[in-house]
Amino acid sequence: MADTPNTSSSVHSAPQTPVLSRLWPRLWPHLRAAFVAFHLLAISLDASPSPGAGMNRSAWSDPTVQGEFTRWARFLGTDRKTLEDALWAFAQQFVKARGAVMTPFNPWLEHTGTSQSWQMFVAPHRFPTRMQLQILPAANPADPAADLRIRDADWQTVYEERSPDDTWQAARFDTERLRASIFRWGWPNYQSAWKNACRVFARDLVREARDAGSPAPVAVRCRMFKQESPSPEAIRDDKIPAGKWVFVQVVKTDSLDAPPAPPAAPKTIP
Amino acid sequence: MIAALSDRWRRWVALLDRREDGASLALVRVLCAGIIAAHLANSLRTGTWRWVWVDAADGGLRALNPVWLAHFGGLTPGNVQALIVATLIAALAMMGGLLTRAAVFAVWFGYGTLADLNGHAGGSYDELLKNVLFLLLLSGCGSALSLDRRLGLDKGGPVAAWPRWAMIFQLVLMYWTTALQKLSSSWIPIGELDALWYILWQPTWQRFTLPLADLAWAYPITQLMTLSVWCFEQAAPLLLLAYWYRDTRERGGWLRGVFNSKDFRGKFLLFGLGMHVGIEVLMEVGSFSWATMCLYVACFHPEEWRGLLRSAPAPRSAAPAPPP
Repeated sequence: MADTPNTSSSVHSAPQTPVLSRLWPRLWPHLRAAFVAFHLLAISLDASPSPGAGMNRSAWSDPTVQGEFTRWARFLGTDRKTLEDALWAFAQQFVKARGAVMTPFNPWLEHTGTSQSWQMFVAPHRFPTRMQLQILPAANPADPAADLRIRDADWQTVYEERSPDDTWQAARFDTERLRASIFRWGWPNYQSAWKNACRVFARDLVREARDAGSPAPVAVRCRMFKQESPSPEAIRDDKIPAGKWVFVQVVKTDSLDAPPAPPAAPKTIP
Repeated sequence: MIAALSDRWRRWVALLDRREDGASLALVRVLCAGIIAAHLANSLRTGTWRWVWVDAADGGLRALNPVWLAHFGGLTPGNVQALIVATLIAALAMMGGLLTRAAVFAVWFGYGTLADLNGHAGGSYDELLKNVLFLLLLSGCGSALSLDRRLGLDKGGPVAAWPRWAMIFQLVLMYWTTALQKLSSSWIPIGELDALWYILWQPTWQRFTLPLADLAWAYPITQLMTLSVWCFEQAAPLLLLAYWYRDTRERGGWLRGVFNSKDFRGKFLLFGLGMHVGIEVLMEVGSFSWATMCLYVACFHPEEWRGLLRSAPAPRSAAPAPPP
């Protein structure tokens, strides 16, 4: 680091008060050093491990998390339930203590936008979900009694994650921000948000159909296909685990409020 | 005790007094602004902003806290679009180094506002970019490679070196604390080391559908990669040690000698670069890898960048550049 020493005048201007302007060149380096030390301490403490959104008992019931407990319990020579309860008690105490330590630093981190949260892929999701959106096309006028008690085959898929064929709003869903939301909707503690999201998709599908002069769908179904990812052994033995549909939301479009019309709504229709 | 503390404080103050050419920080500025501009432009192109940043009352996915936008009518499509466009313009100014300090402030404020609106629709790249922006705001990143310099709005000259060092610290902090939290039996060396195998199966993060069912033979490779990534992240604090040894190479000692002769820094960053290329090829995790590259740029001294730029062959048709 072949750096040059500070010649002091160009970084900062001295205050105009005579006393301060005399002291400033000597004071400034110390103030800056204190500031940098404080900032580095604040971000270091904030980056320390934290359960974050994982402090939710319903999320712990997911088979991925349960599997993790089972493997660790086996390793530690205890049973899963004992380990889980002990960890929950420890995590509660830890979060409380961490909160107390962080209290003086939180305003700084919040106002400067320098908070630290690096819980990136801390554990693989062994039971991931795949989001799918479907519409129930407009009922046949000759069949006014058509309702939601229908065959599964009557639903038309308009979007499915990573599908090359069912691509309604795929450009949006492919962005990382939507992927982050979709990931959360696959967990039990985000079902309220998932329910709201399905209503928004239903509204947009109805609006697009109307804008295109097509009959609006009768209903929209949003669901997640949850399937255990196979191990290499399962693949070799041709024993791919079966999945199941979970978190199924059905929105009857006649239950939707009149959707507000945002400017330049997209006109795409699958 | 007090004398020792006082001596350490004096050395800390002296360290932060160091100055250097602003080229590295300028390159961080250009890359960071480019990433944010591209991200916002893509949000406008795809309409993602309508779902993630507009309030539920106006067609968004969630009821959101409008923060300061409450004074202007809340998170309406018009307000959100205006904020995105304003931040995008500021990012372009920041990239070109026009009114740099004000542009960086506008991007820090605008992007920070947008990124914090919806906690369900963000990622670690938001945190990383906000941290880089904050450090750029405090730095002299407009003193080189900038329109300000050409227009005489910035006289150039050496800038404080500590913001660049703080970026290196940020990189180490990010890698190391994510490694500390990788406690899953899938990550740790005494476990199955199958983390990457299962992560690559997740539809949410796949860039494209991998034919993993035909790739069972690749499982040991993913195990090796899992172990490598875990070790790499755990070893991140050694990067700080490597910098210390580079700065004090005259002091001697075998470990210092090993770190300097084997160029630990170069090898560490090369591995990291390979890891991020792998992430970009196989997964979609937003701007994370690119945001990390901002910090990689900061890992090189301005003289190294200047040397690299000087050694690059000039385009045949280009006239020789005038001396600065």
